[in-house]
Amino acid sequence: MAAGGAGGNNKTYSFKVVLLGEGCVGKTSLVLRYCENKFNDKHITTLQASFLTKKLNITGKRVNLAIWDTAGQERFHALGPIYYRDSNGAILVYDITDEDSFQKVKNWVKELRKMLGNEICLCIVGNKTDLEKERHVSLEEAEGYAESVGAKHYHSSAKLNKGIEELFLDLCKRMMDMAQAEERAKGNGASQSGNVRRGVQIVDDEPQAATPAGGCCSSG
Amino acid sequence: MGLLDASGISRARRKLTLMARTHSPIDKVLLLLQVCKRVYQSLDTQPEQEVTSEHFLPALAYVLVCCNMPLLLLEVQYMMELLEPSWLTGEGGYYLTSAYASLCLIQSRPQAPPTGGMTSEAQEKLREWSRRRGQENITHAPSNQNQRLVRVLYQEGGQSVVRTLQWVDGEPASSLALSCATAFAVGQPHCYGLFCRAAGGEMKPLPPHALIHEAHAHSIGSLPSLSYLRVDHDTGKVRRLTRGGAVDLGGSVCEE
Repeated sequence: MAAGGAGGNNKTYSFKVVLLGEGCVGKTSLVLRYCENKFNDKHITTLQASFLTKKLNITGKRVNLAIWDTAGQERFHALGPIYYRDSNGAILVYDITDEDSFQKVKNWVKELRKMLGNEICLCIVGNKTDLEKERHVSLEEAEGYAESVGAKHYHSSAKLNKGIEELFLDLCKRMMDMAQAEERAKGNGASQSGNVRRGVQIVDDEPQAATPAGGCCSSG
Repeated sequence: MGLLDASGISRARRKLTLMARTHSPIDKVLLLLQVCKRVYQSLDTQPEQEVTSEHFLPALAYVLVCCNMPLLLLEVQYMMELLEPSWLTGEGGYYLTSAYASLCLIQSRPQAPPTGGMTSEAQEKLREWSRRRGQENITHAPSNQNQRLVRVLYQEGGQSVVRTLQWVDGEPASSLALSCATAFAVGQPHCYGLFCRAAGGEMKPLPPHALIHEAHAHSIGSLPSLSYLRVDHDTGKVRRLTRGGAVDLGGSVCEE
């Protein structure tokens, strides 16, 4: 089953989630913590370092998550679209002690909204809450910003294993809601098998923003 | 952090050469995964340091440059075009994407500003690809349920042909085999039979009375696929590239 999940009752939802954020904000630790419950440990003996999967069961529905890590350094920024196309969700991670990493998250948000519109669930995550004393990004600012762009804000500490489970669970629920809304919008005709792949929507000159395919009534 | 040494590079090169020689996009992507695993292993030298995509992407680009295979981009595009959507969203798809990203990186100009890294030509192609494969998925998806189609691969000597054939409910494998004989213009139909790729990756003959829809369980992706081969073909040879469900990427078996 391709990205976008599936309707029905017993079908499995498959979601692609892309991880974005600057180099050392801890996005890899975050996802390793979630998928393997390991932190900074020697364990990468297989290919399981950048691509991880997780199976969940949410209110009786099966969900398969495929998590795509990306290289966060600025010089790789332009490669972003190759990775995030067709994503159902994006986790944008910043380091609460690093103002600049938060700025980078804002850039990603702008780009994702421009390219994928509202079809993607955005999570903004302030990582390293174990370093609260050195915080440089104010909580109000971060939450206010997230709300203004239709994203949700979370706090986490990969080191202490805090906030991670909640973040992913919440994201999954939102992606399921979105997939269901999409199906309803398309009508549940027999021809609909639910796996709508979304390409990168390219906005050539005018940022004509999103076509609300994931929205409510008028799409289709 | 280390990088592949000369012997590692020539090993990677051998795998990529083998990749260029195989036809099946699945076999190709599995070989690519083996190369990626080697790159990871070479990076993972210090226990306390975490290897992430931060390190992996440039390391892979380095290996691809060293391998010096001008047609690699073509190979990558071949896989992007022919792999089933379910493969494209999985691990194979991730590393295929990484290979594509590495090739973009290699093609970009060294001093290009952050907006570079991907030529506008590459961006345009990616767009077009995304649109096309996305469309194809939408148009093909409904047909999976209503139409009975099966993809059949025919291999004889160095030649391989893929045909999509129709079948009807309750039709046994033997009658599909007859259609195959006609479709592939086979002289001695009794020497050929249908095979399916089991979950483990190996080829299994389909009993003549087996029903086609039962063979679906063994298929990969949305459209079931079977192979039409000589009954006495060397199964070992077909197996070699895709062993085990989880795929052992250690892969000395793949050396030729």
